[in-house]
Amino acid sequence: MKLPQFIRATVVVIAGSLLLAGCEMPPPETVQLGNRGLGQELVVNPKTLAATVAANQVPTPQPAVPSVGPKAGDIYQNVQVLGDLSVGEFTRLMAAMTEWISPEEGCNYCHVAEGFQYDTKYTKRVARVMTAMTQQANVEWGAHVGGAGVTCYTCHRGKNIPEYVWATDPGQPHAAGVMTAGQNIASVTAAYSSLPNDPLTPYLEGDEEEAATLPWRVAGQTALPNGNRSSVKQTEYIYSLMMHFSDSLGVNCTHCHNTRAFYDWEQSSPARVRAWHGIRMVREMNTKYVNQTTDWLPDHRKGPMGDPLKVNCATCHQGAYKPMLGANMVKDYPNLARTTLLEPKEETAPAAEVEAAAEEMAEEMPAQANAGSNDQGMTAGS
Amino acid sequence: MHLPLLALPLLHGLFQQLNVKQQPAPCSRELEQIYDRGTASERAALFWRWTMGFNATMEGIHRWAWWFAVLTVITGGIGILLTGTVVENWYLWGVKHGIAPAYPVIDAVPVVDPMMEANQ
Repeated sequence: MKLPQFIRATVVVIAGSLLLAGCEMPPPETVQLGNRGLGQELVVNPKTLAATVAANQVPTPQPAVPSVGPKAGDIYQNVQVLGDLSVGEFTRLMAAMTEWISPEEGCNYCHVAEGFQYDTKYTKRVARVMTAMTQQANVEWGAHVGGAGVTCYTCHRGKNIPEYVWATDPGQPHAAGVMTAGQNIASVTAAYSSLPNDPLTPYLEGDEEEAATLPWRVAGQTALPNGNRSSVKQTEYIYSLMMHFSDSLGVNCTHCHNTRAFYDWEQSSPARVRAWHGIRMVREMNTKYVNQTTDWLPDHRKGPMGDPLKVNCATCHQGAYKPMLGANMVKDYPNLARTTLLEPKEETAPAAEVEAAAEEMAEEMPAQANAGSNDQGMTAGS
Repeated sequence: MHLPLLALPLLHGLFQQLNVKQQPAPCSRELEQIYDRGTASERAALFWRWTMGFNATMEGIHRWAWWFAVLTVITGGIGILLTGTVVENWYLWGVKHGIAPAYPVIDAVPVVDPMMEANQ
């Protein structure tokens, strides 16, 4: 009689300990963000905060170099985006990009041994698009990234492909002829809720006109009915996007909203305005920059629907309410915060000639063009 | 507003559980019957006596339960019918009728809807 009871008690203790081990050690700390009594607060656990801080350390900047001297666009061939940098600055930025994006592969991740000017590898062409995108974010989207700015490292963190990227979700497998609601399964994008699986494709891609037709503001803003026809399904779509926001930033709804009146801007925190601009910034990044790589990006760098891996909130934020916890990294790389296109000159190497040479080389070594990369991030965030 | 409707099956389940789970496993009756007497219903009645009051009887408990089951459906249904037809936003409706507070803006410089800003 004694032994079974002893065993039972042991099992209960072990199971209970395992359950508790999944919890965070109390006590958490709260930072008040709004009026008292509304729960508008950021909850942080000092014990997990240490890990977040460690994961968001800014790498030591490359030694500064003078910005005087001949321009990279005049000295080197086929410099399309960073032409206005001095040769020293250009080399410094290239070294930094190598450290940020391909620390293991080095220069050869983008460049070929035959010459730095050739666009043989798709990675070099991607780098060009991404550099322009980064500059655009810093120049035009101060309303979202102002005060800290973004560099390649904000997303890449030493990886070829940023850890958190997304592609259009093909949806769950289902019997032919059966419509799925595009929801009701645990979706990583929707923070494991059963809300619509893929809120990113409608909300974070496409032009402004398309976006204007989407359900954004679904809550009634008057006490009595005044023609708000938003459906439950529409509401769930925007909630799904909000779950993605919350999950990406490691914050609750109350980081931006007074949850008693989600719609009310006057009761929202200033972070909501930043997020509003962020939505538009990310949509521009995906539509104008990432999507232009669709035609020539290799298939293994695309999602299951054949679209390139795109940007969402998690790409930069990575679980922190501000990427790199708000550290200003771009101040050490001011050339990423301005447009550095040079006017094309006739005496520089004709682009057609370089392209033709690149095509020849691409034919010679197709395997190399796709090699030297790890596939991190291929599935994350999709 | 749908809470009463959700609470109904929960409550129903609670009643069921109280009767089913209180029955001891056959293998361990010897020890337990020494200190844990009574039928399942009698022991379930203990719970409701603690929650409803010590005069609760088997009949009284079930009279309450019956009305609870009926009224949650009726009140829940009323809520569903009113929402979107008579009342658009229950919080604002509460503010309008003085039963919920309207909170002051957070900052000296209030947050402004960027779309309103763009229109100005």
